Amino acid sequence: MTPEEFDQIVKNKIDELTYVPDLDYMEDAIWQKVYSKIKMRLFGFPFLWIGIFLMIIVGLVATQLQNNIVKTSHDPKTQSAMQRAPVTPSKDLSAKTIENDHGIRQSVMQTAVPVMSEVIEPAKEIVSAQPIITMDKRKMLVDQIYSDYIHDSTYTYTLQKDSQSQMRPLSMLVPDHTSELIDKVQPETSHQNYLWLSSDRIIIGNRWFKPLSQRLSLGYGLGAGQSFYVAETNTVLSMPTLEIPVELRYYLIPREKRFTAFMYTLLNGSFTANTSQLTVITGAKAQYRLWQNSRSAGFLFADIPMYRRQLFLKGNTYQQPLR
Amino acid sequence: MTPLIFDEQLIEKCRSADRKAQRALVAYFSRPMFLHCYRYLKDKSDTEEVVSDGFVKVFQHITDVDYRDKPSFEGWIRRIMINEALGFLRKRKKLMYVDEKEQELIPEQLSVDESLAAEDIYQLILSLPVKYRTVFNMYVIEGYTHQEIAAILEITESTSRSQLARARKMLQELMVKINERYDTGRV
Repeated sequence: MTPEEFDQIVKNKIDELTYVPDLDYMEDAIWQKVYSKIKMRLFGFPFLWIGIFLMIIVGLVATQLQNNIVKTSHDPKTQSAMQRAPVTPSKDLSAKTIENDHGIRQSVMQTAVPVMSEVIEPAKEIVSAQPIITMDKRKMLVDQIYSDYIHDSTYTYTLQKDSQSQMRPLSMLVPDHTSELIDKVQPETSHQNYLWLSSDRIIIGNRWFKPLSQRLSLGYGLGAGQSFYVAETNTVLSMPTLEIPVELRYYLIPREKRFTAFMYTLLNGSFTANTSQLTVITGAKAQYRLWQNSRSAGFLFADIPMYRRQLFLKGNTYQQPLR
Repeated sequence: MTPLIFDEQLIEKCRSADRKAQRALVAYFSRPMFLHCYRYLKDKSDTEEVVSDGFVKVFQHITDVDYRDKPSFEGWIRRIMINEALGFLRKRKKLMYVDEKEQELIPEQLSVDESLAAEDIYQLILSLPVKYRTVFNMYVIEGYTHQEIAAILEITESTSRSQLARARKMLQELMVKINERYDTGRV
């Protein structure tokens, strides 16, 4: 057989091939890439820079807020002004002791009444308006809680031992499992069923992620579950919670990769019977895809929140979140 | 699932950047294009990247191309995809050829067992080293001349010829081996 005949037979065989069984091929994945690249070409350049700009702004604001808190809490003028200021019971809190009827009334009263009626003496050590955990202390607590986190029942005790930590949630690595579906109506938007397990919440919900560009995604969703708090009486309270998260992600590694990482800014509205709070979290997440097929994909996250701020729109802050 | 329909109207819609039409075009051609590109790249994730880049180029230049018939249109898309795959390999520096002088090629005794399945031949081509595979694919399957291959890969024509000869020889050996396995029932 001449080389040309050999070539012709091989060519004919390859040309007749339309399908290779072992080759797992995903048309949807290709379309999603094509679509995001088209969008990127149309809008990508401004979106990318707007994304970077927003991240920088959020980072600067976060740093500024952090610095202000540290300065205020250590400022002698602020502290002496706090000592001189007359302390009167809040109407709002008084009302709450009457209104709340979920086992919280007692804890609120126990917490509120002594603090409100006590006259602070000048010589007494001042508890700062917004207690700060130093980085070392915070790291120590995070390490300790994280090591105790899954099975060890002593971690609640660890949290309560340091009473100054009551206003400041702690950061830790949190397992977050997500199963993802490609939206059939809007293929560029992926739909996720997620289960979020952390020391203060168990939430099940739905999220939708819409790619704004090749690197930037906008997520929004709805979740429901239980939140846990430590009351002053050292008991753990739980409450049904509704969550509305809105998240902006900037992918450092392309989102299609099995292992990827992204910076995020999460605005989470969280509602219980007694509280409405808005949490702003900025941080980084590493994501590993456990599986992916045409129906679903499963991810495991490692979360490193760098900045977290809680705004209580309604309710009291005397309940101490577990983190 | 509705059957995929390809016609001139679909191309017209793609020209006006209709997303549904673009998606239909991707659905229609992505599988064969994936197979073509995978034959060069041998990596699923890289192939997805290259095919998607290729389709973006298709949509960018679809207004410039005159539609005659389906085979010529498919050929145009295929050329774009192959160019993307070659560009990708070059960028990853996987095609670093050493120039070779044209050797006195001893004609090999070539033979193909025509009962071999197309899938088997596809897999055997994939098992060739990337440099042999690239030249073999370009010359035998895509129909480029040695002159064109030399220009695209920035090598000499003699290098292209010797790479092709080696690819054929290796493919022949692999075919013999797979036949032996079939005979002994090990596959």
